[in-house]
Amino acid sequence: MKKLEISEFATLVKKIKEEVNKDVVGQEEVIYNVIIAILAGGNVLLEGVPGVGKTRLVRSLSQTLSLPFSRIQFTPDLMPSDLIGMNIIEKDEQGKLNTRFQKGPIFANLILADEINRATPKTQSALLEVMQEHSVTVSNQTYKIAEPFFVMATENPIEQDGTYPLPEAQMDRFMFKLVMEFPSNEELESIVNMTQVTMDEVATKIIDGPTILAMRALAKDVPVLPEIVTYAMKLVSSSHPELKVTSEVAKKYIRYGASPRAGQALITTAKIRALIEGRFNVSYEDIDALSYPILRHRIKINYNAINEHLSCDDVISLLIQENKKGH
Amino acid sequence: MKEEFKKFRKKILLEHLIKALILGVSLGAIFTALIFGAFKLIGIDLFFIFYILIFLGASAIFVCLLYFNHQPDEKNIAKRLDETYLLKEKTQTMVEFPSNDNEILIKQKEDTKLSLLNCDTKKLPIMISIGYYISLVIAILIVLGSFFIPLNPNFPFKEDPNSNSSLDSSSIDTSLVTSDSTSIQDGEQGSGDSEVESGDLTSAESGETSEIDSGDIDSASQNSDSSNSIQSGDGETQYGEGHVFTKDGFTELGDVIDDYYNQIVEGEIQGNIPDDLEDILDEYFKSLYDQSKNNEGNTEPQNVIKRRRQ
Repeated sequence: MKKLEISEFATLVKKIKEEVNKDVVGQEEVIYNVIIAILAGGNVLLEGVPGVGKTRLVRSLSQTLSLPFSRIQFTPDLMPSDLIGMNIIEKDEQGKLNTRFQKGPIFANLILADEINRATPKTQSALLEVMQEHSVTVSNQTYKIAEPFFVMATENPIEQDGTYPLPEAQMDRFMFKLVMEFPSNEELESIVNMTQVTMDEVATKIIDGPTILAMRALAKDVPVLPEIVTYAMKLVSSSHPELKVTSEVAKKYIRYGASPRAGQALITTAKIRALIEGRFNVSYEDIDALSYPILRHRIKINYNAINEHLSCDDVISLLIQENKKGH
Repeated sequence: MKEEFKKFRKKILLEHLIKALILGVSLGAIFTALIFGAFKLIGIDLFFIFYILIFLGASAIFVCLLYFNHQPDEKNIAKRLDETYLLKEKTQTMVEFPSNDNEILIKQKEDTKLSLLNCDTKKLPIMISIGYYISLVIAILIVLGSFFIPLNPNFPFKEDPNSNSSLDSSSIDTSLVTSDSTSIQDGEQGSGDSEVESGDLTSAESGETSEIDSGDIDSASQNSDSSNSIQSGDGETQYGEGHVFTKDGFTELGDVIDDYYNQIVEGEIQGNIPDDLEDILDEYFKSLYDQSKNNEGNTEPQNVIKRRRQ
């Protein structure tokens, strides 16, 4: 495995951000979190109205990371075999019939699952194994997918006709859910000016697959205080209204809480965030900042929260406040 | 103790000492107030200097216990430094992971040392939480409250009616009247009012001084048709052989004494028999005793004396 200097970590991330910003105007926080997710080996669900640059962001990233990229447009008639591939029958040179596995578009390093909620649950489920285990099983044969592997899915929060909301098991496999806000007037101006020159992505290669893996390995050694781990786990468990260790916020506003994957994701991504921030240890600040993209698609708010016009992020803020008091 | 902490240690220990002092003094004051209150409740009234000594001793013990038993360790100091200088858990991590197993841990330590070098000890405030002040206020309130606990005059000596109390003898408005009395001075008939005014009396048994306002004890010599009258030492009071004259009329003197004695024993009257009354009674008993000795057969006065002595 490629050896990487610690001092290079933050520099490389800064460079990636700069490159992506050449193609995507604004969306600083989204870009920042996408990089964290990629380095942590997690999948990202991007939510935003059409035209805010979801697809462009992913394409730009693939160029910067110089990774094989597949863009899959999810539609209601998309079949699992269209994603993962299938066994095909072919004749060899002697005229003998053989089966051969034809890899689908999923066999890439960076997958853009565009409008994922338009595909049927059957097709969505085809992604479960590949997102979690980074492997595909066809006819009792398991095929490993080359690392690093990421799925970046997009969905439109407005247009819900003819869509199939992602099941909870599928949602839980996304490390982050990032919301792309509509750009400001200044950003809109910059977008228009930029696209007058060229519509193509101009980002150049900064790192490659092995470097990403080296960065990931390096981040694993970042020390985390036991108190911080406890705090992160408490944050997750306190989101469950049915548990004894629940919080008042959960009892009042949450229908069901986050899964243990949220706890894992909090610690893994906190280490990367710490390194990006130029620290060599995880802080409470990292956990708090990452709670929003990690928990917002994993906890389900109830009618009380909707009635009081509280968003999922508001409830997470309340959860953090309540847990902060205790530690 | 890590080198990086040395410059902060002094100030943190000073803060710890102040906290120990506040809490120790509060506990010492509460302890002293409890003793003070308890002593007052059981009727022990000691010199105030005694309580000051208890307070100083208890406070010193509590301060020492708090200071030495809860001295801040490396983790506490690290946490304090992180919170004060916003070091984002750098110092705590350095303390928690002392080994140099990998490059990141080494870098982490270097980074933390650099951060601590840039921290000014003057910016480390002495922070005493509100809880310490509250404990001090509570202690002061308890001490003040203990002064309002009344001194119990009865508790340890309730069985002894002669101790530690005062008697307002004016309540005894008894007119001793000689009736059918035998005069010590033959031929002299006691008549007229006798006014006895007592001054300050000392209870010899308790060793304490009690002030008694005896008031007036009027010994009205009425119906003194008898020649056997007893005249008191001052020559103004006369009383008879075996009877007294009270508001209710003539009564056996022995019954009056019995009633009076019972009242003392049952606590209805607290205190000593006033000296003036005692003198009168003593004189009376003495005369009756002499008389009975002469008569040989009359034992009643001796019984009364015996009962009184019991």
